[in-house]
Amino acid sequence: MVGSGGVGKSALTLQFMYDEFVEDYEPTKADSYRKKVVLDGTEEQIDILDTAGQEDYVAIRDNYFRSGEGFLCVFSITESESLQSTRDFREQILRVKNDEDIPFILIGNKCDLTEKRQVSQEQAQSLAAEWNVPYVETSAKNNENVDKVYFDLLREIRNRKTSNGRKETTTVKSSKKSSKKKCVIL
Amino acid sequence: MPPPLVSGVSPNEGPPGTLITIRGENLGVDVRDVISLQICGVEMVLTADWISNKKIFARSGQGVGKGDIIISTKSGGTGTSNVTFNGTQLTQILPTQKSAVFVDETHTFLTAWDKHRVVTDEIAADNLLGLSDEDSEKKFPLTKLLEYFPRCSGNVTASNFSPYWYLLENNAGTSFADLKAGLEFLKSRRSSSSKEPLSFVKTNVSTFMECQDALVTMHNKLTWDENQKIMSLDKLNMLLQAADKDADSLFHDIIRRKEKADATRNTLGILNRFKFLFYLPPSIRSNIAKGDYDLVINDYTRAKLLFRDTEVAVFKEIISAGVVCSFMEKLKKRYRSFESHYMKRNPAWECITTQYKWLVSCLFNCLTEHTNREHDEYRYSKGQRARTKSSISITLNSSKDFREQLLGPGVPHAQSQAVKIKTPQRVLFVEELSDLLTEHFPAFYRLGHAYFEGQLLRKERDDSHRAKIEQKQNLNAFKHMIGLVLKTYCNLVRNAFLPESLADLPEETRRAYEGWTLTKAELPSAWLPQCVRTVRQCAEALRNVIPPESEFNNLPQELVFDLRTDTMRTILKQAIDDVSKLNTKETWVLDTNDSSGSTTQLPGMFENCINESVSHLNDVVIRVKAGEHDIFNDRTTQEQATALCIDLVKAYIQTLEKCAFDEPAQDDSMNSDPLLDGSTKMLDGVPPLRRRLIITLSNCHYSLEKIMPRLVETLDKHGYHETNKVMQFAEESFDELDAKLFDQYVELKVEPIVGQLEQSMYTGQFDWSTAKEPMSVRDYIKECISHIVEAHAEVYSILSTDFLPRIISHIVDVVAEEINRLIFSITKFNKNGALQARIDLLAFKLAVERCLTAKYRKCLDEAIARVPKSNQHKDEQKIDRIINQFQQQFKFHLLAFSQLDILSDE
Repeated sequence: MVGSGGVGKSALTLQFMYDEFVEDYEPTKADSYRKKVVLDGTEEQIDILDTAGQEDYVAIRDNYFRSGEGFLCVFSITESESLQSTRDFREQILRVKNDEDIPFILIGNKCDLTEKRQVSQEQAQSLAAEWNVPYVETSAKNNENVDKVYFDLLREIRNRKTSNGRKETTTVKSSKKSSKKKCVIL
Repeated sequence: MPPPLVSGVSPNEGPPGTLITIRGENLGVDVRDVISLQICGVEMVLTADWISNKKIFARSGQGVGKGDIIISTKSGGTGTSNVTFNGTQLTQILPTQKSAVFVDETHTFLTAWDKHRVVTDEIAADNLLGLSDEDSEKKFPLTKLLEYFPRCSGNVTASNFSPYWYLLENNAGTSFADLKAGLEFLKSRRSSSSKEPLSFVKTNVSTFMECQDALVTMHNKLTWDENQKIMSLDKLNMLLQAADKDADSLFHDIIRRKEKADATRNTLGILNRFKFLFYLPPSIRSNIAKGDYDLVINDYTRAKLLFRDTEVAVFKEIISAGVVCSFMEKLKKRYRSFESHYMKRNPAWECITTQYKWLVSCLFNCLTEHTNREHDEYRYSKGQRARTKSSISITLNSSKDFREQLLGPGVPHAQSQAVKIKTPQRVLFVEELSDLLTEHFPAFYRLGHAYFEGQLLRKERDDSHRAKIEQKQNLNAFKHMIGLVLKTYCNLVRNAFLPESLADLPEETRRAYEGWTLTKAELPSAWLPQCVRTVRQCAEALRNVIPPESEFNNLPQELVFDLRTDTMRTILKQAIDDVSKLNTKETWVLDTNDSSGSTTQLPGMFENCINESVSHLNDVVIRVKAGEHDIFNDRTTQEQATALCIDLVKAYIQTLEKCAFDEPAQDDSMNSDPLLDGSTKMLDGVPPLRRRLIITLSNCHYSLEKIMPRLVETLDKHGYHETNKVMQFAEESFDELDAKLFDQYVELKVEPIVGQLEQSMYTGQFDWSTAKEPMSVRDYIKECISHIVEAHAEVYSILSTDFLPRIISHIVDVVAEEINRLIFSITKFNKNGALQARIDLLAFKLAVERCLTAKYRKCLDEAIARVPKSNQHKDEQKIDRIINQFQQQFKFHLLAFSQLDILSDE
């Protein structure tokens, strides 16, 4: 999970993991989660690294990004600056991963707060189109599209691995979420 | 119940003591259910804070590196962990160190979980013997104890402990048996406590070891410091020396450079001081080349004074060698002799004379050159293109500029056919001549001035009588020369532009200034302002040199004045010329103008023509520069200007007249039937006479009403005098023209109507004496009315409505008179004839009554009275009926007259 501070990375994660919505805000340092899910009939294990959005941690992001297999880049539709900073994250990820096609989903969170909206759907869409990545609007509070984004990313990572013919069971905890496929060991 | 599973940890990294949120499943049913919580292999269940079976808070322990979080519950057994916690070492996180996680420093220095020190309880000293204190009411007085056991104390831990005191104080009332039992207790306690220290040490061995370690470390450090102190002093010393060296080497270059710079600066200063000396030879050479011997001698003297007493060897050498000296002395001598040699002959004066001759010859040469060129060019162009007026295209800057201006709308006629516009030679001549004079005359004048002031010679002139006389003669001669130069200039210019003003001069003198192939008339007048500008500039330049009170000022001033007057005349004449040719440019295209009817472009062209001329004149001629005369102050000029303006108007009026009356030769076919095509607009040709008349009438009116006031205003603004005279003249002549045009038009209109009247009255062998019973108004009246309405329409389409009543009433008057005449010429009416005549006359009267002037209304009334009146009522009714019928039929015709009436009422 990447994105600037306060956009709802942890909220999305906790919603996905435990179906709970945390009202109070406490800046995250770096949290790890793992969950087994059944995706299209196969059991997959998903490792989520919830990173710190605050600027204080910019220097150590490289390490997180290096181990990530896929990234959910979150911004808040109620804060246009957060959309701007996704560019920095994207840039840094591409630099670290050196891979244009790294699984990546742009997420506009807090879509329930329509009256505070600052970022139009078109704006975000155009940015996503520029990067050639999907754009999804979510609400951690209302559990809108939360599972979808994780599964989408997971699917993308899996497809990628399958197509690469690679069999890996690396546990990747990194920014965004990374999924492992244990099944491939067989 | 399945075993606990940890699936989330927040944060996933941290130093010992980090508060961790552990999430997962089946983390116990309640607080007590959790029996173990290991973080990185360290049991931390004591710090656990159970929230729910999904969430537990705990603090991390000393475990270092990545490790699982294993939770065991009574209900589910030992669990597993999906996530790991990375324990970092506390010491790793220093204030300046980067950390992957937020470091909560309140925990950093507070608690280290395994370092709780057990504080040894203080032995309860007040009950050593283990005896109860029930009967302690028998207190032994403290003062007595102090008395018995001085310098002793009852405190067991004090060094001056006295057992007696203690016993007396605490157990004064205790029985011996009890004391004995107490002793036994004490003894047993001692024996048991002798084992205690060992076990205490055993349990706290790590603390002791730590203390030991700390002491050893401290010791080592102290020893090391001790050694280090001596070593570091040496080292410091070395370092300082090295630094010193380094600094030296660092600044060595800079210091060396600074020294060099200082030296260079000194040298430069010296060079500067003696620059004069170094430049002496070249300056002497150049001064000699220029002939400035005075300066050479000055320089030399200065150098000699400066270095005569010099201590510097090299200068001494040079001076003693006399290199400079001998040369200079020689030079000086030569100059002296030169001066004295020429003194007798007065070189300065000769110089002036020569200069004068040169200047005059320059002026004449200029004339010759330009006349020759013009001649050549003329002959050349005659051979090539006989029509083209010629000039060589020599580009002087100013004339180039002017040519560019000319390429605009004001291209002179004479050259309009030439593809390339060339500056007339005469203009070039004036420019060059003026340049020559402007350039050289001031120098000449100043030279003369300086000569008479005595500035030319270094030494005072002798004041002998002879010299004074000579001086005076020279002064007169000089004045004469100046006069001559100016006169030559003036005459040359005059000959070029105002040959008639030289008529007074003797023939042979005049010839000297002549030589132009073309006559002055062939010079396009548009160039004149340019020449005037040049001459004025020249005159101004001269005025700056010559003091204003000097008599020499007059010559150029007069020249300028004459030129300006002449230019004004020429340009106005040119304008008159242009204006009188305007009729050829008439397009007859009507331009509808609301307030004053339709006009053609003719008046506009006239206005442009004049405005152009005036603005042309204004810049160069009319505007008065400092020191010049206003040309309108001269009475003659004033009159001339006025006359010319009047002529302008006259020319315009003639043009208008020509437009109206001159039958163009080429359009016979078109005018073969003027009545037929009269109403159509003719774009390509000249319209028929009566249409021209109306248009001209309109133009004339428009010119008088709009253009003349504007022009007069323009003239006034530019300082022309007596514009009211012009206006007056214009009014008169316009009125005259107006009347003429008007008469001509009305005549033209009325003639056919009147001519036809009699003819159509008797058409079809009509006879008033044998007339049948009248059925309606007869055709001749109808025809007549139709014609009048037609005229009305024609006039209305072009002229402003002001004209309508005037023209129509005039026509109607004439017609009425004619009808009157015809009626009176009828000798006999029968009854029907009388009735018919009456009907006709009444109908006509009804139609035109409002336009008739009083005189002709009477005339018509007379005619009606002349017709015998029927007294039968039936006849009266018939008349009324027919008149009504006529009114119906001719509703629209009559409308034209009624409108007219309203207009004239207004």
